[in-house]
Amino acid sequence: MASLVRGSGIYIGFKNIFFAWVFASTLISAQVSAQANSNNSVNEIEDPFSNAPAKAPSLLSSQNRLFYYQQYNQASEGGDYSTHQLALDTQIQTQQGENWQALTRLVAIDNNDDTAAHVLEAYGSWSSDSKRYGLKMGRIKPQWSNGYNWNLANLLRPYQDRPYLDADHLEQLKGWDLITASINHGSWQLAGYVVDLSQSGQSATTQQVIRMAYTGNIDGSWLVYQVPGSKPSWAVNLSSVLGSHWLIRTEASIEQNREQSATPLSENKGEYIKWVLGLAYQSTRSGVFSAEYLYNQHGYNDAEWDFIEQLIVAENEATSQSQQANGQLRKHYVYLQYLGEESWDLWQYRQSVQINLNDNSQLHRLELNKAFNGGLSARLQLEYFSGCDTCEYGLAALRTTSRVALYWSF
Amino acid sequence: MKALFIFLLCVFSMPLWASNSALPNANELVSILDSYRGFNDSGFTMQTTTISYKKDRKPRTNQVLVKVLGDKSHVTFESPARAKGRMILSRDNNMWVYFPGTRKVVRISAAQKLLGEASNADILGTALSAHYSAKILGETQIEETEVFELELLATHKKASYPRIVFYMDKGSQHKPVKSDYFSRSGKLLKSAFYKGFMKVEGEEKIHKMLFVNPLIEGSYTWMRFDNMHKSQLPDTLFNKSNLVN
Repeated sequence: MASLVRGSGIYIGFKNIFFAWVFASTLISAQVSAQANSNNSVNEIEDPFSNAPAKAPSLLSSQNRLFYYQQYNQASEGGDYSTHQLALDTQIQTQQGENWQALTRLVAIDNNDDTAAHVLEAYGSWSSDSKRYGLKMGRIKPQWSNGYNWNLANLLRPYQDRPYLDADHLEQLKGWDLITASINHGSWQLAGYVVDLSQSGQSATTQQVIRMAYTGNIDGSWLVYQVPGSKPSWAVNLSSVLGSHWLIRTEASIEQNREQSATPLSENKGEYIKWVLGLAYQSTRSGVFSAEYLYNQHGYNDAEWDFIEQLIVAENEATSQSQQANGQLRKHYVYLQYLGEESWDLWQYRQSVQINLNDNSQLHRLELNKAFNGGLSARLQLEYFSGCDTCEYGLAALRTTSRVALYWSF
Repeated sequence: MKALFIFLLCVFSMPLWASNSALPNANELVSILDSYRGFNDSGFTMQTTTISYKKDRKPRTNQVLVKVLGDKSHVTFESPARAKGRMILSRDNNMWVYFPGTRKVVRISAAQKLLGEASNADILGTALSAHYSAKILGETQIEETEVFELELLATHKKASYPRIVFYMDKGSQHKPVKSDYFSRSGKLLKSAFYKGFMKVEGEEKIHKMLFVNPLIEGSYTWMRFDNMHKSQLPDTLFNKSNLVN
């Protein structure tokens, strides 16, 4: 009988059920035990908070940063030399009731023993109770661009943002003297700006901007810029998320004046387009990879560049150097960047390259950041300019730079 | 006889009906969860302190000021000093970060890590009901406490976590006891334990949480909420353009 049962399908069925039951109970008990262990160990974790509540935020706040850097430069034409900078960047913000605010940002810079102080920003602002209407007056640094490297929507002149933002170059962050009024409605904002232009040497004393912006799944803004008596310039930007990790952005501007000075071969088109398309992949654990392509109609075409090269060969390098200071010299560029996740020990790595696709010259930058505690941090930055003698980055006065910077935030 | 049997069955099962009708459904439990995290549709402000630990390493601390209106959130870093003034804006499941040094605003993903086991999403304090559908999986026990097991599944891809399982006290207040956060692949990312509650304007709110990484021993993060109060927050505060000039 036993052998009959053992050999039958009933026996096999019971055997399978038995083993399944043993396996399932083992699994369940292991899970329950793991959960119990996990909960027990959680109870052993000591609460680090004192009973005193956190200090309530103050209506007067300040952000201060003192930093020093030493930079070693290798010149393109040989010879090494070093530069240094000591700077204090201080910002004070205060609030009076719900409607009034004021902000001041001052910097004092000792650059190679040449000392200067600047008011980067100083303004007062008012907003209605509902925050629907706003008014600001004073020196303000508007930031209308949404990009990583090229900021095409920042149309105000004189143009102070250089691509490849040097975080230690504080003069780039100087604002413009302006008055602005804004109307907010839900996700929309309409703002008008009247900005002083009297210091620029132009005949007009003001420049004006109207900006409409939307915050949402696709956020964007549209700007019209005009200097009285001339045709308007335009800029538009959009950015959005693709899936859970990808970000996309695009930005374009149409300007009346060419950034680069004309050559005998240049045609005056009247309108010059720049546009940029950027993609970024944000990993939850391993950092951010980003890429941008820039088309720049302000830049020189091949024929114009041949003429510039002749100037350079004729040792008229001052011309090319000054043109280089006006923005991108050529038409097609790519920017690639990897920003690593900040490690537990507060190390962070960043590597980037800006490539001129017309002449394949490149600017590489490597940065290593380290924070020692909440206030003290340091940065090592290495730059390498590569390219032929008559290529954009080959024309740079420096071949390599190495900078060590120390920051104290308080 | 049959009629008597049916009568007795009805009489004896009445208490069961009564108790079942008192049981909250999944959506009600999510509303209760949201009420422990904030003030539902009313705007509110709070300070969040986060201390993160890793075995044999020095702990790390930060403090932020959080303003919440529905599913919109505005976070300002108060410490550490090197991050002071940085802001995070969350609106319509989108997130941006503002860097005060350069005045730049760039988009970020909600899953981006904040500190230790806490992500940006964990400090936002926004309503779960706006981003998740809920289902009661059953009942279980955590230590001595009888709990409901409530599964939340994201209703859109931008939600910070695709799946969260909450364990809520079966008692009258249905306090959260624990929650498990899962990745898209189904991996358990972290567990949160609700370690303290406080009374704010007559309502019970979460005061302290402990996030534990199940994969790395000794890796955990404490979070404490302070100075929580209802605030009249205008919708325009959560406009990206108002982060910058």
